[in-house]
Amino acid sequence: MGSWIQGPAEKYGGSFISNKPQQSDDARELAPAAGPAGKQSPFSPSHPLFWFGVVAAASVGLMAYSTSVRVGPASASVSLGK
Amino acid sequence: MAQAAERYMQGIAVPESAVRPGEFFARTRRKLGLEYNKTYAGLGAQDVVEIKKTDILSELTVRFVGTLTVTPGTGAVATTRRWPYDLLKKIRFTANGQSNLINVSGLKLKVHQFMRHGDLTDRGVSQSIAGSTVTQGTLAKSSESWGVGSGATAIAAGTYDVDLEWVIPVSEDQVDLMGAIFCATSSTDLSLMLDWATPAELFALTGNGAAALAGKVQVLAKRFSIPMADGTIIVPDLSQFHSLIEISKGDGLGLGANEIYLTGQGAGKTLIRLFSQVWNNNVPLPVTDANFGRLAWRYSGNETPDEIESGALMRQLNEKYYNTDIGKVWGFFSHEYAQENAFRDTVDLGTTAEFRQIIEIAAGVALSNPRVEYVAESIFVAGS
Repeated sequence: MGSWIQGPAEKYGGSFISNKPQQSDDARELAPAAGPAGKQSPFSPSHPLFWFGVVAAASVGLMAYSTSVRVGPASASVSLGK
Repeated sequence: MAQAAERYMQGIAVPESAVRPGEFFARTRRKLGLEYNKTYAGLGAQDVVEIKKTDILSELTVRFVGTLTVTPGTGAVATTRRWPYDLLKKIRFTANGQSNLINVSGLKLKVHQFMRHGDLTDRGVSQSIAGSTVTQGTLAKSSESWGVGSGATAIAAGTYDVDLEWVIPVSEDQVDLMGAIFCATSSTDLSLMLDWATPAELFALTGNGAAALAGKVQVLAKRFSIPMADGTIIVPDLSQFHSLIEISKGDGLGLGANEIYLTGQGAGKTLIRLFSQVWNNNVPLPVTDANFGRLAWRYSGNETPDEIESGALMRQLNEKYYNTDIGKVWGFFSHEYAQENAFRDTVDLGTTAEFRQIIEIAAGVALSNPRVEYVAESIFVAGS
């Protein structure tokens, strides 16, 4: 059979083959713009509150282990013994 | 007994087993014959040609042969730029319930023939246009006769032979018959309507000047017989319609960039080419840098795949594609999508929303009653 005998899809392409939306070359090259980070888990390192939480947890943890804590003029301590 | 699988092509149920393109082309016979041969209806009137319901139709050729009798009297007779090819003001071809598959003016059919057939050229065919002898871009064939020039003034008294031809491409491709019409069915309704221009559209008469056009119209059809084998017909793939639709728009056309929306855009249509003219004061604007700036097409928000910076660049591109200078005297410019690689370049109108053409008319042009006349040529699904 001659190679010139084709179906419309092989000959014209276009609407005979697909309904894929034509993608813009410009749109592919666009980088995400700076702006609100959007919904992120607070456990993600990129979330702003993550590092506050780390510092806060470390502070509370250290307070728990020390026998005396002083904040300004006030202090509290625990002691065992006779 | 199980019913044989069927396909619907052009609104007609055809057994699946009948669609055998290779065997069809081997067994079919081409038939060329005159189907209509009558005195034409007259300027401003209409001829309706009923097409025979037989075979597979791929092409119609309309010929007007007659004489133009010019009698200036004490006045004068001139032709407009619509003469000669827009003698056929509108050609409408309807088939199988698809209204107006083809709906264009005569001149648009002439330029289309040169676009479609790269080996066809008008180089060296000399005609008179606006008083000058032109040998490139006339869109004329050596075998035709205009009688008098286009845009000719002060025409001398006499009788001039007129012999003009227009080819109606029923199928998009005369080789593989894509878009050909299956006629051999009683459910087919085929007609060709030829609207002739009015005298005022073709001639400018002053005083008692008169111009009379007499002649006959002939329609030649190219058909292909439908072979039979194993008790069934054999047909090629007829699941497409080929369409050439002209739109004329004048409102809002002005200097600078004009965005002309494509009328008739829809899913399932593949655009093969889009060609246009801008008529200014009833004269087609030649495609030059002085007349045109940016010529482009655009879709969606701002997707502009083709942007030709000026008229002369577009005219050169078109001459390279078509081997004919379509922009020189007739002012055609074309966005071509099929000439190099149809599969690669054709435009799917279903996925290019808001398709529009950008036509920038240069600042120095003195506009008077401007109109853009554009033709969208497409091929689309007519079955499965």
